[in-house]
Amino acid sequence: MSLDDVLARRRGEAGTIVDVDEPHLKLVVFSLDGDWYAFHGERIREVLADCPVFFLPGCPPSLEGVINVRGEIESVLLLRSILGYPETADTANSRILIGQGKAMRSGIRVDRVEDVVDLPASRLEAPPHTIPDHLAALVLGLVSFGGRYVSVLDLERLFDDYRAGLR
Amino acid sequence: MRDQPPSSAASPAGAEAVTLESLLGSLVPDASRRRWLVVKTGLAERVISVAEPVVLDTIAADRVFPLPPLVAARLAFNGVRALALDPSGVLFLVDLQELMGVRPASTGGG
Repeated sequence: MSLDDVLARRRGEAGTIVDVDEPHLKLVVFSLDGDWYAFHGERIREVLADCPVFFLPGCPPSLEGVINVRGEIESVLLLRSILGYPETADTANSRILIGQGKAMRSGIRVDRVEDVVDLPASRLEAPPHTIPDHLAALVLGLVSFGGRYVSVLDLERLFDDYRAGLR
Repeated sequence: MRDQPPSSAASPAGAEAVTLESLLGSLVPDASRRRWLVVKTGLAERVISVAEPVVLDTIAADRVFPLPPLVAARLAFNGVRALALDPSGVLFLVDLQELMGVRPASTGGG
């Protein structure tokens, strides 16, 4: 093997791309009263900033009403109420996430959307045992992001529990 | 539709009048002026007392929507089959046959 061959092989080794195709999580990160949560990005169809909500009598306080999204009527859940946060009058930055479950779709009102991020799946940690009971069934895991812990919520479970009257 | 209750608050067929609120459930009867609707479902006839205002209206089909699933699951009222969007808000569209027990309750929107 000539020196040229050796050097060519070396250059080839240096140029080899190591496949580190680690699975990633796309997360829609939002906050409630300063606590950060997220849903998986593929479960959120869109984020609405300013959308009139039609009140419906006969529904629980945690069901704010319905909205018209380009001719489709969607319910709007108040996540603050469902997760046990007190009511707030400060809705200036609130947004409605359109969540898509396997069998149903609904709007979900959050205080503020913080970011949409792509993180390595390995960053998802198991939820701690100290998590409050009312959250335990909903939290898929925690990720550290922006210097905070973000609780990743199970949208499917949220919808199923709400439909069953468990929340 | 009648301005006055049928004699003895009963329908021509003799059935007692019921309030719409009691059929829907979970609503306190409205004390305002009331009208009486004589409703026929098949061979049955019933008188339903409803609060004013009562208007005859037409709604375009493209303004009628099925109940969103979570609304269908959590709505406290019986017999509501659909919603109609109106400039003044949302209208509940009630299935009288379901409300009066002629037809079984539907399993919700979608």
